Amino acid sequence: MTTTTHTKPSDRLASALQTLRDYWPFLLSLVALGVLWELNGGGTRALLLPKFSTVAAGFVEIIANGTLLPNLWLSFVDLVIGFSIAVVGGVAIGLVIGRFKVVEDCLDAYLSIGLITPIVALVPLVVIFFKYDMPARLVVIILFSMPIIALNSSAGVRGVPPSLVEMGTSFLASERDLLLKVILPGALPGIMSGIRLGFGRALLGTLVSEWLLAAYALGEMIVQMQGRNQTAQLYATVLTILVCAVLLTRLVDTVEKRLTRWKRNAAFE
Amino acid sequence: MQPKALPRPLGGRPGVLRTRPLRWGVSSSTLRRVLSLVLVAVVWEIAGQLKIDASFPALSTAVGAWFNLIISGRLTRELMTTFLTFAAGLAIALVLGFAIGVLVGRYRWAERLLGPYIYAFMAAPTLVYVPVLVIWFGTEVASRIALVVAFAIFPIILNTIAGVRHSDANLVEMARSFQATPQQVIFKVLVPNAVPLVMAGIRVGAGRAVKGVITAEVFLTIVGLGGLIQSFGSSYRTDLLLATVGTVVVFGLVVTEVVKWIDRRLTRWSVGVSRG
Repeated sequence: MTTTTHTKPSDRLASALQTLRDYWPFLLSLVALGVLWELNGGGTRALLLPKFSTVAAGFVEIIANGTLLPNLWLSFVDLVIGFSIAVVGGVAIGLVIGRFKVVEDCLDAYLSIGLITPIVALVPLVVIFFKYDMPARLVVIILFSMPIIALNSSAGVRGVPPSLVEMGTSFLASERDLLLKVILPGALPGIMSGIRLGFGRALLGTLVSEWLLAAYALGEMIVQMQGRNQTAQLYATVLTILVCAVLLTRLVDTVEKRLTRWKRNAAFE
Repeated sequence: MQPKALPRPLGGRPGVLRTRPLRWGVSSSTLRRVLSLVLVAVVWEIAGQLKIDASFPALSTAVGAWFNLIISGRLTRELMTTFLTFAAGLAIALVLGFAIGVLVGRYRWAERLLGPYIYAFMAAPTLVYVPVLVIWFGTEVASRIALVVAFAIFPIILNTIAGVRHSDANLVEMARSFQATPQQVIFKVLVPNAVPLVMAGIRVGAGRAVKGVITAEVFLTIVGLGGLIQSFGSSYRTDLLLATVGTVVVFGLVVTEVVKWIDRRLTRWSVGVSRG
């Protein structure tokens, strides 16, 4: 894999070439799959597997008629708002759980339930309390991603060497200083693991909320295309979501690696 | 409050720490755990009795609904459907995930060929496969099992890769110098060595399979526990809904505990691998 520490363009080119050399079997298989798809798709199987070129045309069509990009943006907005709330809340809960045994004892059972329960099962309850619109969608996204962030943050707090905390206390650090200057930086690897895992779940939560509550944005697109048997457009949408998810996940992974280069930390799930 | 950042073994779920014993041989930690559960139960009951929200039943109402569901035999029947789909999906995910993991972990070309696909399919929100599954397998049991596989397989693949790579080069070298065949190296050295990490992957995978089966029953076919949740939810039968959600939670807890138990039995000999 390429690293992002290169600065000179020549270095970047070299590392890009290296990636190409390393992953040529993958790239070749991608081309082969594309050709196979084109040759075997369409015809009598048009509804099952439209030709690759048909799907490409479908992609151009949903871009041109202005359905894909605005809906993608609306979903992205939901994702960013919901996930941000989940990060802030999850890290806060994780810090308190990791720091105070009393809080851990009281919240542990609920955290476990939050981790084990399929959140899809809670959606009807969310509807009862928050109806079908944006607040409900955000609640679903938060329910999906917050428990895992809290769990990993609390594990991160426990990974902070006690000697550092002891030194802080013996130098009369206030609880606030201890938290901001010793525990938070020390727990960063755990927090970032939680954010990485939580992001994957937030993606899933976004799609679930937009599909299962009132159909909205990407969820609405998928439901409509399914109903109208627009298979080519459906494939195009699915592939677009896949590519966007990969790029966003890659971004979160890179941020995690940059911030926690000094320590490898296990992730819990 | 006295700072209490106590060292704990890395890797398990929290809660292994023993606090000082209290009355009746119950530690204060256990007491607090029980109290917090009781407190929520009481608040729930009171909120329900006061009819804060017309559609929100008291705890006792929900428990009553639960018993009715069990007695009518409906819950057991649907639970069976859910369990069978779950088990079939998890079994396929185990076999497939293990095979792919060994291949990718052991062979450079396999990693270069499959690595990017694994990363991509894992990063995508699993629900995105639903339309494709509907097109290919319809909306019946095959689709549901496929969705469970899609939920469960990735942690198993990743941990098998890590497990195979984690194996000690010295052990492999020793086996080779004692004339072990490649098959023997794989089955007598690499596989046993990978077990603890693979089991950790299976633990996570089983948890995800529970989520997968409920998701499949909500999005693909309205059957099983997921189907009950859908129908009770849309008819606003909140008491029955909560009873079913409770059953799903218990199902998830039981699955997790069973896998943990198997994990402990299989990996008693190993040290230094995270467990929880």
